[in-house]
Amino acid sequence: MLVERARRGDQDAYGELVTRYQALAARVAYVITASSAEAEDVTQDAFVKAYYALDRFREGAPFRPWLLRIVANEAKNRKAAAGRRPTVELSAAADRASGETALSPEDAAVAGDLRAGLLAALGRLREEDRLVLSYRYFLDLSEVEMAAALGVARGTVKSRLSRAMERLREVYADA
Amino acid sequence: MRELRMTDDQLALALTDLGTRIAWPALPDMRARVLARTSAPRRSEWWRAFWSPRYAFAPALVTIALALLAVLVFSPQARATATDILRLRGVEIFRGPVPTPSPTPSRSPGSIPSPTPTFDQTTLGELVTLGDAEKRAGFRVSVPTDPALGPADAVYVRAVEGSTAISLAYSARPGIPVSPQLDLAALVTELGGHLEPAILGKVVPQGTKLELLTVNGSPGAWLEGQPHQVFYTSNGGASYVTDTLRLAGNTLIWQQNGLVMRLEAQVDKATALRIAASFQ
Repeated sequence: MLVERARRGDQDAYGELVTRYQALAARVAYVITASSAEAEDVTQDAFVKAYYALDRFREGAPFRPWLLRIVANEAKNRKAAAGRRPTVELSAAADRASGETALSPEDAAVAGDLRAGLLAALGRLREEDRLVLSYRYFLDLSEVEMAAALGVARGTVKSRLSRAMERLREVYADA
Repeated sequence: MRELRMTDDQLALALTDLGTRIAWPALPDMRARVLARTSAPRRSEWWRAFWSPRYAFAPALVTIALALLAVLVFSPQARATATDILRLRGVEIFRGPVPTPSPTPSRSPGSIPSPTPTFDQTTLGELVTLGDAEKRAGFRVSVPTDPALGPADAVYVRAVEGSTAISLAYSARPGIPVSPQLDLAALVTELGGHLEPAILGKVVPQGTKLELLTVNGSPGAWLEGQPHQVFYTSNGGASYVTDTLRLAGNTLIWQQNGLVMRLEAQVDKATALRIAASFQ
């Protein structure tokens, strides 16, 4: 078990955990900070902090939610410290011309409009709504992981998600 | 205004599709950079065994509070760890510097008659006169007048976080076994700080007998058994300090005049209380 080995000070084991989870951690950090430079710093710092906090990791518990909570906290702190400043909104790639989805040019244009509209709507949502939707649909986090990253009880994740969906629908429809 | 409101399923599908196309930043592999910062050993968190979230209120409720005890293997290394500072809010442990002994003890002639102590004085601090000790500490040092101890053989002063600890060392005394740890029969330690017996009772380790009692009209505790560490607060409650008990004997600890007083000696409780009552 990598976590157990890392807890005993095995650097290789911890390196393996970094390799395994750094992409996910960086995406969570990016969703929160909306800055790739900040996401990189946050991810690195969070892994260092997590290492020194391994004593507090409950044996047998899943590692991902525990790590994501640390990443999310680090990202929120970093964002609060940085204050308001221009951020990059999420962007999405368009269908490729030779697209495997075999959409007609018209359908591809409609799909492109839908994606652009959703991204714009997401950008206008409150942070807590935007985060829960991003965690669920962009990062495919489990309920436990969402709760950890949001810093809320697991039982409130569902209601937050459905409320965020409702707001997204309203904002999207009003555009 | 868009014409159609999407159903939940449609919206979820559209978001999932969107999620597969998000342009995530391409970040470099961080493994090497993280590992470069994790090579230092983790700090020991043995005190966690005694930790419960309810104690998070302690610093607020008892701005002056004390603490707890933990069994600590009585190794020379442990004794050399003169002070550990535990900050409950930040959950950080800091190790204070081990006080360096003064190469030439500054003692005024005749103040304390004493043979040169043979034990490792570095764990107790700097050898000084009683007068110097009081000046350094900024408080008046109470001295036991019980004939079982008589005058102290040596006085030591050392800094602890936010306070100063004064130790009165007593070498061989009739009827009191000498501790093999420090070649002393008794050790009195006085330091600025506060005792909170309510917490003490929750955290006493197995192997140590704890009895809460009143000493000279103030809260105190009687400890028998293993050598241990004592926690108390200094800096008006801002810092939790742990101090290793120096002798493997019994310990009486109590609050007096804004100080935490400690008597370590292999004597019975009645004798310890009698000695405590003789402090002037």
